[in-house]
Amino acid sequence: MTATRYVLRGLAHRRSTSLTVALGVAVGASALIGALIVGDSMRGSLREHALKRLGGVTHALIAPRFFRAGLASVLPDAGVADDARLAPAILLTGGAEHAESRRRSNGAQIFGVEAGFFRTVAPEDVGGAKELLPGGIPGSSEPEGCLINAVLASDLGVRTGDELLLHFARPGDAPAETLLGRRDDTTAALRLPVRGIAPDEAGGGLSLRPRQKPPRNVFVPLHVLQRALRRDGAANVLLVRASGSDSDASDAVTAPLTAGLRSSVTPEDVGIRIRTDEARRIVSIESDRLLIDPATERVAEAAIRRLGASATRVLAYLANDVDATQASVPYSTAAGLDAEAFAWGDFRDAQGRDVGAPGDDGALLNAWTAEQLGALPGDTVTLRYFVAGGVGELLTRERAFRVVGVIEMNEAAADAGFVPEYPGITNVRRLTDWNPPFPFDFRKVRDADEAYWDEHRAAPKIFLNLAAAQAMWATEPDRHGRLTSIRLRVPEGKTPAAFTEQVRAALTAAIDPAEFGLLWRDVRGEALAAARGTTDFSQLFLGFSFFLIAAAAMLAALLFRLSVERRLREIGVLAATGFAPSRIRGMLLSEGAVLAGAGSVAGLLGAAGYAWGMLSGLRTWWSAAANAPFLSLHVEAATAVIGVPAAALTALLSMMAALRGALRESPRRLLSGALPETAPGGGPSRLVRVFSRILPLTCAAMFVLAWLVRGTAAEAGAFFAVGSLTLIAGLSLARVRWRRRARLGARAGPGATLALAARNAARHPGRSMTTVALIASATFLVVSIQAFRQTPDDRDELAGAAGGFELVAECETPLPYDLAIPTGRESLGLAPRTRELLGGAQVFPFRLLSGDETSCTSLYVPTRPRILGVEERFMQRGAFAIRANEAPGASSSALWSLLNQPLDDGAVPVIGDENAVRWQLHSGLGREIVIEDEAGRPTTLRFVALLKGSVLQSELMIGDAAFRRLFPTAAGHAFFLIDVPGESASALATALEGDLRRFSFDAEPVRVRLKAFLEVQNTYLSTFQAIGGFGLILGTFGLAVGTARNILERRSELALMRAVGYAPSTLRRLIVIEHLALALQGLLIGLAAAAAAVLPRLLDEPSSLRLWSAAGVAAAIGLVTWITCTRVTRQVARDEIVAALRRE
Amino acid sequence: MLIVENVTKEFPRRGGALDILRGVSFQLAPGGALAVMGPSGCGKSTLLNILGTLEPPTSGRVTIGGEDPFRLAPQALARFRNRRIGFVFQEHHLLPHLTALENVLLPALARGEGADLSDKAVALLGRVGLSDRRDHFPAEMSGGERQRAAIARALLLSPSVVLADEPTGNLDRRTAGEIADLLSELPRADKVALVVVTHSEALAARFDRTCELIDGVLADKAAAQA
Repeated sequence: MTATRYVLRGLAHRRSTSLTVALGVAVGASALIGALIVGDSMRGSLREHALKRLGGVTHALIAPRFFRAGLASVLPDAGVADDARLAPAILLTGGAEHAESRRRSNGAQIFGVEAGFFRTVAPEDVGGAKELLPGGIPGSSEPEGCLINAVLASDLGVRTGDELLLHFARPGDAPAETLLGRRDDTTAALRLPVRGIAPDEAGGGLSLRPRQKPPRNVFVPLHVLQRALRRDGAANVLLVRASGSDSDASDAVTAPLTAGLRSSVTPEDVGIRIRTDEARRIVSIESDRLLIDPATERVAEAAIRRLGASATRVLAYLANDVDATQASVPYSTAAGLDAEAFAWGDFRDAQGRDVGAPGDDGALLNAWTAEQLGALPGDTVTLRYFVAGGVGELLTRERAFRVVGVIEMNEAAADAGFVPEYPGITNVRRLTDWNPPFPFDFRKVRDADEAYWDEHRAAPKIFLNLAAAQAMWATEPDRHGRLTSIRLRVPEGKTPAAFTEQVRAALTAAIDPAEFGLLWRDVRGEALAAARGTTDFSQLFLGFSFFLIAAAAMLAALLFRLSVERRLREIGVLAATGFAPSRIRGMLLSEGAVLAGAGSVAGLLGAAGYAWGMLSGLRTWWSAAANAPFLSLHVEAATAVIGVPAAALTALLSMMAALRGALRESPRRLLSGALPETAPGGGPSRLVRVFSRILPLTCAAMFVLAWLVRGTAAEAGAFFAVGSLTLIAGLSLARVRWRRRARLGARAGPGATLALAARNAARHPGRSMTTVALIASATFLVVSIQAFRQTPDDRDELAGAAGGFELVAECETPLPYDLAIPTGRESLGLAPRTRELLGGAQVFPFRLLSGDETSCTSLYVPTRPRILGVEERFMQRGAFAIRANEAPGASSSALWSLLNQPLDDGAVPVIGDENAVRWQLHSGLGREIVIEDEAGRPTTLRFVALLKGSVLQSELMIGDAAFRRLFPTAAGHAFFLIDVPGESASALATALEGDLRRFSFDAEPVRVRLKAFLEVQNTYLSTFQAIGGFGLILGTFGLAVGTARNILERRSELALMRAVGYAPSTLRRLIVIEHLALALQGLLIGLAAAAAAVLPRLLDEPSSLRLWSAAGVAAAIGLVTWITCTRVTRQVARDEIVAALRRE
Repeated sequence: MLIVENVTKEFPRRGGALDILRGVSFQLAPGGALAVMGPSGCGKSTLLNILGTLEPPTSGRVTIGGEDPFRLAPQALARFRNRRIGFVFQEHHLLPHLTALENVLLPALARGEGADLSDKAVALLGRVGLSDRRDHFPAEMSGGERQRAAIARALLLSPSVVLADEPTGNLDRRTAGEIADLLSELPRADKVALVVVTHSEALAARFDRTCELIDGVLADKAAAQA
């Protein structure tokens, strides 16, 4: 006989009781470990999903510009990972449309791929040997076509052989927001037959960015896409499949890739052109974007320093007119030159004198122009020219210059090489053949102008000081650049060809590909990092399940206590035979530990079931919360290792608490079997009495505090603090009231029954308290949470979540013209009806950097958030409820304007939605996040204001100027908020989608988007409520167990009452009332706690709470509790009384 | 030696304390036996509980083997009770999930000596006539057998005092006689001081000395009757 044997024998002997306690523990363990498994599953599923989407791709170069596709074949020679596989591709996003049905899917990924692409991207386990692409080899006899993935096929109802229309952006050479940017030619379309469905396991589901929504993919032969883009031999993506690439070993792969890229990239890969004029012995460094962007200028200057060469900087531009007093010359190129250019001595007057550099207000005319204008030195000429205004907008400006000299048309001065080549202008035969991207009046062109063009082509007619030229024409020097060419003179003794090679070598050496956005990304590592999730679902579900865990622990403790109470005599014998109280307690707790352990281990199975149920819920009923149909069960070993002991410890601690007081009685009383609660004078503890006195005051204080912190981050904490304190206060008061015994003598009939029932309920305060606490807590949670469920607000208020907007729209290809203004609408080719509808609307366009959504609909960590560039006009509107720390009382528009105020330390001001910033980015007001700009440089964004519950949850907002600086190539507007009368919103959305189809324009009611966001919140609340509902079930179960136990203990008493004349029905009613009273007390305390918790919010924003809905839920809980309690109690009472009476 | 000196016991109640024992004193040497009789509610069980250290007296002193147990800390008191006192209750209080042998061994378990004393427990069961019942559970035994097992349990650790509270109260006459036989042998056979609280004249008659507790005062029966 050992203590272990004693414990085990006791457990086996009371197996039904032991099993019940263990089951109670198992329920709690299931919830606790299950919550951890939900977290494991979310992380595991996100990871699995992200890696599945990447297929075999481990690294990628995703450039904002096109480069030579041939880099893919050069890189291995540069020593990049011998076993790595590389595939060049073009990746665009656009719209895909079923040519016949016109069904459309925006946001499709259009891949231009070569044969062998799928070998690189397909997951390893299918061998990746599939050659899927038809027409993949240029010139092959196989007809061109495309492959699409299954999701897109399903969306569009496309079958093999059907034709697909693809719309996508076709970026021009010059930035669209410069004078020579081609704004009318920014989109392209392709019509291709679908040759088949690319299965996911072969790479058909490829997505380089982790996201829940399955990608819609189209795979087009690379050369077909190159042709459509007019980019022969180009790619904008390089995909790498590196073997054995774990995130730890990422640097081992990235470093050689970066080094290889640096040694392989040519000036042409980053858009640098080198032009040699052998006759003039000039080597020009230019950009295929016409304007030399800052990165190219830095590279060129570095090369010049390396070469020690003499160089001049040029900004060439087009003047619409050059006016003098008597005459005017149309469409003349003008060049701003630095002092070095004039020092070369090429600019001489008719007398052969060096004319020198003009000052800031001076101009040199060439002889032809001076003659045409009749201008002489000292005269004034006026230049009229366009400058780019807003998106797609050209503004006419003019500036007067004093003629400081007239230069001879010698070989050096009449040099068309000052002007970079521009297809459609510099390469046409006649001036009237120009195809410029700006308004061009052919009627102004004279024969003399044609003759000049014929002889001198685009040679500048006017030369200015470079600074003056840049002040007029380099409107965004940090974004687009401030030069059109840098000209190097071939040193004496060198041939132009040899020097050109030297220049090329120097440029190549100076190029840092990253500066041009050619960056390798460890996409696998990024996916794994993003898959950690925005939310720790283990913690979230632990929070959700906290009440259930607590309820189960309380129930297990109640059952354990009941089992101990049934064994008081046994404990008395132990005490009488010399077992010290601590030893007895230890033995009982050993039993508890065995049950807690067994229950917790059993709970593992329940936990898997719990997690499976939660995941099933998240995939189906609660799909709005996770939007992740791919969720599956994942269990990490650590979860079991941590979860089982944690669950067992929780249960054991509850049992220890339950045992408190049970062994205080003397052995004599224990031997008599008398329960502690029934002992004379057994009232509430001093702590409870103190609580009952001070807690109501504390509640009031906490309530005031909750009212003060409403609308802040502390609101949630205050809500739970007020609710919990009110619960404890209510329970303490109830406990104290039970002590005051109801007087029986003066009552008769129902009153006496009620009083008797009240007395009986107070006989076992601990037991009763557990039941009341369980029901009260569940009621508090379920009812108060219902009050916070939200629906999109129906108000059109500016400060509402919709900001007073009816429509939100996005397009895959940014609009090159401003949809907000009539001229822009006209330039976009909108139909008259659409323009008419827009007449009654206000459109607020934004630049958009596509990236990771920051809204609560996304589970992945947003590592590259979507960003909007906010323009001044939108700021002035002052839409949405917005708050900032530093500006209390400031107007909304003033707070929006914080985006324009530079911060001292260079951080960029940013505004985001409070929920997104807090929960998705884990940041807040005044705090910072770091993003990468277009060149991969880390940039700090600091939150200067936050929006409260807005539709702008998926993106962060920075000022338009900052946006243009950070993302210089993101041209045009791609995001729109539209304020339009509700009745015409639908018609306008349809009209815009039709007219702007080529831009893959997609508009939807703001309320639909808001509803999707609120669905997430509401769904999580539903989850919380559902789990709270389980707690209520446990509470009711506890009530039933307590009822059964009470009746069992009182059977002789009941028999006596029967003997003295109580009818069985009266006894049943007595018992029902007794337990119903407990349930109703729990219900009322829970309702009071819920009311106290939501009251601060109610006083502040009455309309933000759904009180009727909450009242409905409260009524439902009351009804369910009533029915359950009545039925269970009646049943138990019937069975037990009959059996007891027979026995007694 | 069991020495009880001027022991009183009061229970607080509304309107003043209720005196249960008033100056109870007696001595009982090892091998001696005392039967305490008295009407219901006179304090017999309270006296027994005090002697058994299950509850302290309001005043007075109890020494067992020269030691005042009520001066001991709870842990030490439990050890004292375990070592020095054996209980036999009116209701046997055998643990239902233990066999007869295991029930007898229960006091040893409190000292962690369950295995060491199993031979003695077997011998005790033999002595009380339960050799063939050692592996039976209480539910498989008669009332008399259970009480005999309880007596064996009380003797396991060779206590100096055995206290029996109405040990035959729930038994038929024949079985009660058997139990009385057993109990009457104990003082001399085991050198214990035996105190038996009973209503049974027949049982009381088996012991050297019989006292009566009336209104909280203990008096020799003869003296009381006089």
